[in-house]
Amino acid sequence: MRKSGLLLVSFIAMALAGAARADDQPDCHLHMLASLDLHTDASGEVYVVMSVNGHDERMLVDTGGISSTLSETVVKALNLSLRHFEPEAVYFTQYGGLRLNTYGVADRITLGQMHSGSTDFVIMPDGDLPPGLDGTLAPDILSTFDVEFDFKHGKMNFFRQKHCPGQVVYWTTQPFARVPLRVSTQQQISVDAELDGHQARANLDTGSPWTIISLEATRREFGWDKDPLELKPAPGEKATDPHAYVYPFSKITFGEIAVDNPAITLVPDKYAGFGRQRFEPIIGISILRQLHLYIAYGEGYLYATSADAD
Amino acid sequence: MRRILLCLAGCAVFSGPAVAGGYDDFNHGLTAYHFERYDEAIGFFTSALASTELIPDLRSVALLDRGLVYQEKKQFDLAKADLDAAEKASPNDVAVLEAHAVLYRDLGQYDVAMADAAHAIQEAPARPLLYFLRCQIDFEAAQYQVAASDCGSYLHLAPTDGYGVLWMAMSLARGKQDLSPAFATLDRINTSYWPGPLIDLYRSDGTPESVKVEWAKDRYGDEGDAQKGRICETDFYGGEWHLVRGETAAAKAMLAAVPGECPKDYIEIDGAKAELARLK
Repeated sequence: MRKSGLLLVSFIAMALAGAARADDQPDCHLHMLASLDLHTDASGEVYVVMSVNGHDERMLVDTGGISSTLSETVVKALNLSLRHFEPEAVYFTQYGGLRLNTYGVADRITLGQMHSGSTDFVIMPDGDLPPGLDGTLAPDILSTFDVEFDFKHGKMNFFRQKHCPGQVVYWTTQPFARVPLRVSTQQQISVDAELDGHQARANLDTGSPWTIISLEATRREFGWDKDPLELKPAPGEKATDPHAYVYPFSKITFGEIAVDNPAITLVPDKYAGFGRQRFEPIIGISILRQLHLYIAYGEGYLYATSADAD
Repeated sequence: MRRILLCLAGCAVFSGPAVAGGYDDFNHGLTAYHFERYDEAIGFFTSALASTELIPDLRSVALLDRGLVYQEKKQFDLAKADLDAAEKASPNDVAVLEAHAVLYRDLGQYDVAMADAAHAIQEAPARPLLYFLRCQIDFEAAQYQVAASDCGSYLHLAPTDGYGVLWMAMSLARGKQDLSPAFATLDRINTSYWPGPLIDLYRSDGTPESVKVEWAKDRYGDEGDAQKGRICETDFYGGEWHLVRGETAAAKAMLAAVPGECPKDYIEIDGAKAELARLK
């Protein structure tokens, strides 16, 4: 599969075109490139509308993904040319174990006022996206910008990555959190966190509706020889061999952000589909949407205030 | 820097309107809904909707979700009020149209349900499950020819779904038509596994009773829930099979067992209830 090099070049070229000033002086202004309506579905997941070959598609915003995707039916409807990863043994694995190894090539995509040429989308089988959504917008595209999430007001803004360090929180004069980000080679983002006093690396994933962690890794980390009575099958799960559990954790913190009594779902590794998991919570949209976020991919920091801060 | 303290639904005790902002209440409502704490969810969504700070997009989601909670609690008048309001607020939202269609189907107002489903299909013509939903609505409304056509559209988009084959076969059988179009995609479906035996039933192989005896066994080491699901599905599709043959008593007995047997999210429950209501 072709990497998104073209996309990166194309979007960045546009971003630079807007900077009509000499670069030898510090310019601490943020340069907004696009402001999109950020919609919320019935489960609380968030999506934006992106035009693919002239057709509007609803794209789940997925900071935890790798490559952006389109559903099988959309790819068919748009008649995108199909390619397979080479060698055949190369594939993406989704949470739950689904393997994806085919992609479609779109001629033109548009996000707000930004356009890009040939772009690859991994093909997601029908039924594996939340109902009503057509694809996912993942870090292969997102990480070429700085990205702001204003969940409360329903806006997702894209900025040039060039800015003065620490000077991005423009929406409030209230205090804000500035948390160092670990950005993986695939542009997924994580932060150092603490769950009930236990250190963990937490992945920030707007594409996950809920905050989840490995059951087995939690058992190991917390030294549970026998499961505590408070560990219970999640609502709607059967009593024997449930796919998910709940446990009353007290607090998760990352940087200056603390979440009391977080609703975290514990998932047995066999149902996560990634083999033996580490003690690394995935902080999903259930927590993230309570914040106003600015992900500075370029600078490597997460900026956050409460969603209410104006 | 100040610590930003958040408090999610786990710590929040709902204490009526005006305690938290509308957006916070909205978030708590989503969490409570997910964890099936329905009364709590209703309280939070109600509080969120009473606030002026929720943007229209989120108001629509709050109405939709509260309506779904009411529907779950069988409080249909309240569900109707919310889903009507959600549809008015977001007339082209597919999720709202789908929920509205399901509610009105459950209420037996099939003309409204069909109009919603048609509108949803118009908005999202590539979404297979919308055709399947409309097929079920048509079937419950005893419009079998239209049901077969919608299930055919569904199978065109999702040719490997055995349940699509079943509903199309049932629709054709009840409409006294040739069943062979329902089996056009069978070469792409592994009928040696569930629900293959039910499809075979409609291809004139065996009886519902023999399917139940054979498949109630723990032959694949499945959990009890899977067996239970197979039994309840056999009772539904088998009940319909008996109806096609004019064996009303046998059909009633099987259909009557469905609501008590099926896990609550099985589509067969609504189908059985609607059929039983017609047979009264």
